[in-house]
Amino acid sequence: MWDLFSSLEIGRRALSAQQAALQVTSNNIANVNTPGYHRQRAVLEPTPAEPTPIGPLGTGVTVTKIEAARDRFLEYRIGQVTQGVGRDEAIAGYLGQVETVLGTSESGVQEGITRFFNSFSALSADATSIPLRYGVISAAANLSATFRNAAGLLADVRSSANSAVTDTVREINTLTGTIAKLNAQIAGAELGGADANTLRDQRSVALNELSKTLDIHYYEADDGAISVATAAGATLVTAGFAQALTATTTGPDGIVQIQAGLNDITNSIRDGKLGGLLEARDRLIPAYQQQLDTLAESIISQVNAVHAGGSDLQIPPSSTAIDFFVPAASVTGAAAAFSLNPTVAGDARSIAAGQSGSPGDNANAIAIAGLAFQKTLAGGTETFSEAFGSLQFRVGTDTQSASSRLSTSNALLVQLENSRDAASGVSLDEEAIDLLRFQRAYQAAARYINVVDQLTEELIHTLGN
Amino acid sequence: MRLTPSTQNRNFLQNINDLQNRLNKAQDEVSSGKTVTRLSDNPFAAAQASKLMSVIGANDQFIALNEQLLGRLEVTDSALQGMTRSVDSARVLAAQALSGTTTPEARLALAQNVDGVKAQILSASNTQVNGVFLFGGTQSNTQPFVDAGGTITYNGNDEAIHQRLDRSVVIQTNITGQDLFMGSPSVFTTLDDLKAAILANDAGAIRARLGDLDAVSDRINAANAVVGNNLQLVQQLQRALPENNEALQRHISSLTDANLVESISDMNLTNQAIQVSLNSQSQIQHLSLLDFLR
Repeated sequence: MWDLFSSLEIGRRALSAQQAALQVTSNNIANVNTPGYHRQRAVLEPTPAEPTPIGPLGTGVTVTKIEAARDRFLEYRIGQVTQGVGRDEAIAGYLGQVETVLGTSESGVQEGITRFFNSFSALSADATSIPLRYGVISAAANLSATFRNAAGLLADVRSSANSAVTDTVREINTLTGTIAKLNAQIAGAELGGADANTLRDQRSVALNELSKTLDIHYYEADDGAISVATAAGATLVTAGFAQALTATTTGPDGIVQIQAGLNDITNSIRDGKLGGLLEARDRLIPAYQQQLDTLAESIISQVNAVHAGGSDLQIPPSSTAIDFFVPAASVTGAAAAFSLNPTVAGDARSIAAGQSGSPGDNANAIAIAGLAFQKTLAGGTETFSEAFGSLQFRVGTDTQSASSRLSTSNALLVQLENSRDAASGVSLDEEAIDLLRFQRAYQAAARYINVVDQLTEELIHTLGN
Repeated sequence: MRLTPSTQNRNFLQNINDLQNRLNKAQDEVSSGKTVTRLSDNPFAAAQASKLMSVIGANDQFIALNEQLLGRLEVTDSALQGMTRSVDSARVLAAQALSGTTTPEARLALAQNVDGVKAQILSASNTQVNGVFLFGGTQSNTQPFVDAGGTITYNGNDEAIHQRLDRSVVIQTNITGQDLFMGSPSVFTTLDDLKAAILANDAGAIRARLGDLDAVSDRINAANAVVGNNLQLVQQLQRALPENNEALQRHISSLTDANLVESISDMNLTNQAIQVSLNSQSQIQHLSLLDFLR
């Protein structure tokens, strides 16, 4: 049966429900700038009605739960795009360095090639001239130095990408550890049925960071724990357990391989910062190194072949068939080992400018200078300097496409993050209106308690006398 | 759509970043005068420019070497012309000796003049440029013609010296002394014989030597014609190569040079856009319902 005291109870419930809602609102406002925070709502529901002869009578309101506005699909999508951003950021960063090494003015390889063959042209004007022979030696030393320098810088860029791999693996392990710990805490907290909103917010921040570092897939189990695996299927997190990745140094050049348990997963990582680093370290930079080496080896061997067939300026002229450059042991590493034959460097007369043995014969100098115009590279379609131009073109296009992919995915990411904010973010205007709504409701409930109180007083006053 | 402060901030930052990048690029273009300062700015243009620069570099070298070659060919040309004149004067001496009215004294004077002509030709045949003997074949650092007690010996050889004039043309640039003087009839032997014939007043022998002198003269003229042709070829290339380089340079410019008017106006526009954007953001940020509720 209905009475005044149960009416007071309705008032009490209303006060505490509105107060809870006010607190949720103020918590939203407080977290307006917190990364990963999802807007929360107090879910208000009427308490069960009491049956009366005239029908069910309402018993007031209660807060059934505090709900966070979360769009899982959007967040998954953001994770995927973030992987691309991480990858292209890494590639663009390292290729930016390569670009400076082989760039338009810095490297001087192109200019070195031109100057070297020009010096043989100059020598052909007077094969007996010792100063012109020194000109050849100086141009050759310069050419060797520019090749060695470019090769050294490329190796530096590659090895710095390699050490970044180790750092990134460490970062990944920290993040998967955090996610596993949060998984356990969330599962524990939600056993009772309530949502562990704050813990979930922290976990989505960690997941997002993890997406930036490598390509992952994840799904949420019924108990709220998230399982994470690499795109290729290596498990990273299951429930409260994280599988740490290990970075193992292999080979003489200290290249780091990544292992999950006993499996080497280096080649299966395609995306995220780690994917980008591996792409730069294992595919892009080695390809440039190989192209530079091929060019170096072919300059060395072709100049040597012609030079060895000539005769020098010694008295009497000797045709001992000496090499002009130190022959490359193999194509790989030819650029790094590019150097002038010490015998030639030590005595300008040992440059074989002629073929007949007469001091003024310049036939060999002309032949060597002419190598610059022969299309011997890339299947007989490119001269030496054209081949270097092609290498520059390749580096340029790779860098350009990485940075244009980066700006596209950044723009997409901004759009997605805006959508996530629209779904989960805190709008101060909206919260201001909520403040008003709950404040007014609280005031009205207080007013209602006042009315019930007056009624009670009236009753006591009237019946008490 | 719910607009949150972080959405606004993110959009604002993105716009400002884009604008700053554009401003930076425009400033780069204005200060360097180039649209392509990195390979990735325009890979095709950068690689093309790099290849073309190497062609220009090689052409520059050809131009410098051709200039030297022109000098050598001109000296060769004038030496050959001097020889032709000397041979002509020997012919005049022979004609005088044949006139029939000569006294022994006059013949002696003519014979001495023939010696003078021989000395002139010997000197011309040892012409050198920068220490390089022009008529010694590839023995170019040894004096080719040596007078040993009246007999002239040739220390040079018959080897050709070539030079590349541009990417494709290679020509022989020397005339060997072997060709010119030592073949039969040799100019020096002919002059010696002429002198003996004049002294002996042997009209038949003098006539025979006149025929030899014609042959020598023909040979020198033929060589001179080759040198003349080479001179023309080199001069023509010296006009073509710089023109070619200018065309290449213009091509590189069109690939990589900035249009300054465009870059500067782009820089100003972007600068304005940044200011407007900053102003409007500072106004928008003050808009909040919280300010209006009392």
